[in-house]
Amino acid sequence: MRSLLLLPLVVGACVRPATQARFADKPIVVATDDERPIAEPKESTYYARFYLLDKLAFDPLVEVFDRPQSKPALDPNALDELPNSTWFTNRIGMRDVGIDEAIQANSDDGPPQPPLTIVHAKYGGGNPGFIATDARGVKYLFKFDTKQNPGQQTANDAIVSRILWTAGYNTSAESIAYFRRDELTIASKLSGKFTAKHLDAMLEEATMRGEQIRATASRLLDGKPKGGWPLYGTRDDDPNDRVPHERRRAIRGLRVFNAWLNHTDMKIDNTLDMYVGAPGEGHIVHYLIDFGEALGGHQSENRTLSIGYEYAFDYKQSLKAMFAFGLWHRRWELQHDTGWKEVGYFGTGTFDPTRWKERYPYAPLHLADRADEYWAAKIVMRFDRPLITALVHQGELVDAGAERYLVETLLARREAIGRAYLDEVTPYDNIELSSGGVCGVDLARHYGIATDGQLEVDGVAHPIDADGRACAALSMAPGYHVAKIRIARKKHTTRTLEVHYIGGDEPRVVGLVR
Amino acid sequence: MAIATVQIASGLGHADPGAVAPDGEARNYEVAPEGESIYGESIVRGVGTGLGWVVRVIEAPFRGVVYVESRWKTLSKGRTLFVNAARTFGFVPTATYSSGFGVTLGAKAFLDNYLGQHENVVLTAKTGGSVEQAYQALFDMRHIGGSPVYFTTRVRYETNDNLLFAGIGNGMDEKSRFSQTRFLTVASTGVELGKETRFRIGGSAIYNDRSFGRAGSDSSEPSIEAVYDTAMIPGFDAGFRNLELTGDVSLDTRDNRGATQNGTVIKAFAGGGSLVDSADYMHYGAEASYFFTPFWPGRTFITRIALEGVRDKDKDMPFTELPRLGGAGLLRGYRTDQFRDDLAAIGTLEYHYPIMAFLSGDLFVEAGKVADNYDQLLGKGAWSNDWHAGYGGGLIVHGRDSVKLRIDVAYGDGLNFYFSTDVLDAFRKRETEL
Repeated sequence: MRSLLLLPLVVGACVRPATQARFADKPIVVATDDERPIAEPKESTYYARFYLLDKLAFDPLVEVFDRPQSKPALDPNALDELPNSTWFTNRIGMRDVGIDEAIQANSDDGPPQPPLTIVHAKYGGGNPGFIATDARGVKYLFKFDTKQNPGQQTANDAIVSRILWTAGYNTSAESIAYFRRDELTIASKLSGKFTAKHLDAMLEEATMRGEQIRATASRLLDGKPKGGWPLYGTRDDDPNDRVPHERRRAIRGLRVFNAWLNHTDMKIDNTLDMYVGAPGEGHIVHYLIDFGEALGGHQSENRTLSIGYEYAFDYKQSLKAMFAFGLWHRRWELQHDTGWKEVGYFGTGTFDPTRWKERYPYAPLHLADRADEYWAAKIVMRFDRPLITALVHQGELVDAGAERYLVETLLARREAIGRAYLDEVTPYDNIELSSGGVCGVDLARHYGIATDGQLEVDGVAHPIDADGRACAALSMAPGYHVAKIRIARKKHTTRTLEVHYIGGDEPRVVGLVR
Repeated sequence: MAIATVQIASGLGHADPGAVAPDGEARNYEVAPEGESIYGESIVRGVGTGLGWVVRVIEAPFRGVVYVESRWKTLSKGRTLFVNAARTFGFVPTATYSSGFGVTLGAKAFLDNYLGQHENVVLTAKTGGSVEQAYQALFDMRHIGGSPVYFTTRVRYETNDNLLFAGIGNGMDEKSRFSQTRFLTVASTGVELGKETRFRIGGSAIYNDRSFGRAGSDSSEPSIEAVYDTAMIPGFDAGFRNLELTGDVSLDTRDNRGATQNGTVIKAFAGGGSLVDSADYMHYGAEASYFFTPFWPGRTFITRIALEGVRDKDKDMPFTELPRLGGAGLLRGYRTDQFRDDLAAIGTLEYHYPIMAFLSGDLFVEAGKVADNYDQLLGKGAWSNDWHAGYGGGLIVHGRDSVKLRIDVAYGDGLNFYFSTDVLDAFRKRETEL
């Protein structure tokens, strides 16, 4: 408030009383009441081939004519933020998250402690692995690296799960685990179904550290799995799920996080609803799982550089390419191999977050509007170098150079996110009202994305400090007011931000419209 | 300055620390903004929505099939009716298409690695297209006893009722059809070395017994005797039997056999044949392809030249044994075997470019000529006469290490479509189509 006192008293702020109050003068909603007991839902089914063909081949043809239009998200509160819910918990976006807390994330149990007993196995297919109990009886899902890129997918799981958890999502708890072959035994109940021969074949491609096998250990989530998140609408069998998913910012905003982290493997079976609690007394918690193919993992696994730039089957890009006869040099072709197998091609040079694509079209991501993107971008911007460094270190990359590169790349992509999305709205945030007016922070200026600009409040310009802070006088007469704020920079002026507030002795913001 | 970016309730003048609301009711709207539906309501959008539903209706059966397959695994379950779980034994239906001939349907039974020597036994039966009926037994062994030695043998009986004959030489003579009854036995052996660069040297013995006749009644073009004097076509009226022994050598340095970028393929064969009741002859051929990527990766140019010839003293080489041009591997834009003579030469320039991860486009131009002798083929004035040009383009579906399907459309003597699994291979079917 001190800076507010420094404001010129005469600023000519002319604030029109609103003709109609858009927001009620009620306490801001900080939590969603979506943990009410519900009957235990059935596990939803996922048919991979149908899903992928539907999203890659059939839906795009329909959308040539009938493209779903983005409408504002329905889950934010009056301040255009997400209340805490079973989908999202405000962490780094709302408070400082300590490095230790971010490292631990939701992994109270830490990595598994050998010896391990395999109780379930999935061999063959693209992602073989097994479930084993450790010495304490804690169950983990173990997955391994690909032969071509040792250390990559296991590191990605450990790093990206923590980043997304720190951002606010519920994620599986992923640790890097090392164990010797003689610390593995196969439960007798698997006799004949899964043998030492199967196990050895599975471990053949695993990354080794001396005699130790390296794996991702994903602690099994609490509760009962109930399938992935439907792309459209809500879960019919979850009365707590009232916002259609295509209107849910917690999902739509993932587009920005996924672009940052190149989490291209975003599809229904990498989301998971868990029913937590006794039957009839529990509720659903919504998780993101399986991050091994994030960063450079998906490109390396499929040996396909277009991942992150084009869908697996991309009509538009393919037609363009077909008739360009090879003369169109696509952005993904300009990528360079970093030389580190743990990193692959993950980089910054060709990264444009607004053009980033997941591998299989995930509809809610494409319905994100600029308010969703701004919301997510400002959370991304909260990840600073020490935090990113600490989280990348959890990947236990063998090469220190690779680790440094990954940190620098995430920081550079973070900046690209800021450039792409902050100024798409008026990035005036951390808004405080007092009897003298309004103070807040120009986030683009604060993060060094913008180097100039003036705060315009109802057409009157006010300076913005080098660190982004800017204040302006407002009418504080009793009643409902709407202040129209934007930031004029040399090259452009941002879209108007409406601050709806109640004046009087206790001035308060009742709503923001970005 | 540290920023507590999201101050959900604190610091905003509310005495209350914050409220809890049901999902979707956190906005505290007094008056909700309009336009809450997912789809807009404008006329343009209405038309778009309508067209979208038309597409949905058209797609519905396809979606249905994919859903059924995905949910009940009908294909994989169906496959188990034909193939065992290890895919080492099976009985499967087959279908192929040949431009100008149509669809050939058949069935294939196979037994792989029964003896543990990576051997392969295949029995096939076909009908349709150019084939009235065909039966073949094939035995193939790669890396005998772990060595680089291979051995392949096949026995085949077939009758064809509408094969193409358009004269001998380069003339665009009238096309006709004829029938054939044929018994073929082939045995090949040799050594195959290398994984990246592949070198192969070996030899083959090929025995043919052929007889010919008028075309089947449902032929789309006139029967041969209505157009040509078959007595003037060597081998036609009497049929023939021949045994041919050839040696062959090939070198393949391509860096990839899917979306190839660089490398060279050289193939050559030479040998002699003996016509029962007639004179001996020589048969030889060579093909060289050079793959190179002059600018951006994935944009590959291919130059290819190929030459095939026979030489017999009596000039009575049966017409089916003459080198031929026309078709997917040798001169696109023309019908399969449209041209034949003692010599056949072809030059190709082809360009491949990437479209998707497993799909490339191609453009090509090629020119070919058949001739009675080298003077006709390469002598003075030969370069400006009788060359047939074809050009076109298409799509190549490839895996990481092989071409899965190639579809080309080419213009030469009319517009022709080709389906194949080769990137230029003039002699791939030499042993079976002789």
